[in-house]
Amino acid sequence: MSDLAKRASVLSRRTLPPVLTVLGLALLIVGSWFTLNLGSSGSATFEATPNTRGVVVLTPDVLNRVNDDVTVTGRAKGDGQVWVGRTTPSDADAVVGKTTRVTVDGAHVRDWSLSTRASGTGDAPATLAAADVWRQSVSGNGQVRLTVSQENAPEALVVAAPGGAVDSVTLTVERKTWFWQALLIALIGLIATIVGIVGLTGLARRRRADEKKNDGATTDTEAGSTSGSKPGSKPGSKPGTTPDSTTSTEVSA
Amino acid sequence: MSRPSRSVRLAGAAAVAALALAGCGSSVVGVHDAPAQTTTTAPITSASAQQIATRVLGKAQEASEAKGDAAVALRKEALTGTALAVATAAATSEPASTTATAPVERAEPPKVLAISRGTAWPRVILAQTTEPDGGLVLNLLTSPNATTPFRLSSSARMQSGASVAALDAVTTGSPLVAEDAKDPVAPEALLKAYAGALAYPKPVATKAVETTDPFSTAVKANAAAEAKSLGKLASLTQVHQAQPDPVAIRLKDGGLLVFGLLSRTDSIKLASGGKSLTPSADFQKLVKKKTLTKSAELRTYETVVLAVPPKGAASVVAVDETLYSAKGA
Repeated sequence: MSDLAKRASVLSRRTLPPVLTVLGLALLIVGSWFTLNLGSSGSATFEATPNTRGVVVLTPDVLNRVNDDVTVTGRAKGDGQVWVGRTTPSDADAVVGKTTRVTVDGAHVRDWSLSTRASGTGDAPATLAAADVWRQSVSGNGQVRLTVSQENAPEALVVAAPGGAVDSVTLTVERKTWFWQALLIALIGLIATIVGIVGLTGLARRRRADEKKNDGATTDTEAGSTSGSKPGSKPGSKPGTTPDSTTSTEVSA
Repeated sequence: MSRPSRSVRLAGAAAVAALALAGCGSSVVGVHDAPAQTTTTAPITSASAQQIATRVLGKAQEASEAKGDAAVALRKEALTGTALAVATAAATSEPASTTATAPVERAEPPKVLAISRGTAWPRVILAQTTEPDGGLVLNLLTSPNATTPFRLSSSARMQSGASVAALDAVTTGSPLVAEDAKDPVAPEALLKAYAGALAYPKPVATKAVETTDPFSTAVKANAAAEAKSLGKLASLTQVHQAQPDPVAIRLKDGGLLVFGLLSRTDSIKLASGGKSLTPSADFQKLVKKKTLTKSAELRTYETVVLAVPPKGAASVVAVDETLYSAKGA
């Protein structure tokens, strides 16, 4: 083995265990967090609470980023009437116009929230539901739910509460694979952590052994200067075990 | 190799696997960019169009059957443009005087033939209905903007033997053509040419439209017969005036299907030596006079649908007429 390879090996033996431990712990924490939050069904639920008298527009950026069905639940304030319509993004923009709207165009996994931005002025158009742009619409009191499949993507959803306010909007994506992936990450993290800790323990043990040997060699060297060489020691094998010049002189003579 | 080295290798492999799973991103977790919207197809699905056509034509049916203020409200809700003008005219005229084809008297649900292409407005739906006697009616539904629902804007019964060349698939959508499009003839210019060709007694010849179809032939023949019956007692002039804003849909072969409205005015003037005229029973009801001593004027809406091939003259494939005004002195 070349000198460079030896050095790299030593370096990796010393640096990899702590790195692995930290990385493993991070993966374990992240994987466990996702596993717990997604549940065995692998469903991710994001929520926004716009509390607006206008409309809430969910864009393709939150509806059509996955290949799975996305379920949106709209809730009206005070158990009022709520309506949800599905259409193309351009038609949603056209029908809402410049009235007050809260656009949902992103999601944060950190706190399972939907990112929103408000714009426009005035209440939602009274004729919103009557427009001939809706591919599907549902209405009811309190809350209504509409599932968006991906076959007609891209699409947009408009949530309105005629005569009231939209209290909250919840978006749920169910993907069983996510649960298994999160679990796998947690498991890999666990393994990496264990291996890292084992490596660290080994390193510590070796270091202690080395220190012990170093301590022993120092004592032997001190003894050799007065009584000659240590029995069984190999000349030049380790620091502190080199035969002293006195002994060497005696052999050559 | 020593035991720690083996552990390190195992851990390294685990780390690489973890990084691959966690870090290689969207393809692994199934998240991707949202697809871009296609703007060159029909803006609504064929199922939506079918639903809209059924609703609109059903309401138009209700409007035609309703009376009084309810009928007025229903007409405004279900009809627009030419169809509203014609239906209002038909409703205000005496029942015996109208010859309009009721656009929605049908035995079968409407059949959607075409949806306008693209995301812009106005949007149209072309639907065909079948009357109880088997006759086919072409209905044009229009939505001017996003917040205004579709309404019936034009309706005409197809003439016997007439046919329309294939349209693009409903899902693909059919392009709407601007009024002043130059290929092969601008829709508005086409209507004006047709109106001129029907004038009596001095028609303006045109190569743009054939006037040998049953309706055009009948209009010309009736005018000649009427003039002949009046003899020297009175003179008849018949003017057809093209109304603005025709709607033209591109056919699959590059031709056009043009929905337009003409207003026909029949003017009868008694000769200075003439005594009086006794018009038909229907006419008497309209003008509330049994005899005419000076003149008479009849105004009729003519809804026409012209099929324009990529090359050659256009032909009238569907037509409807409704008398909406009669004056006599």
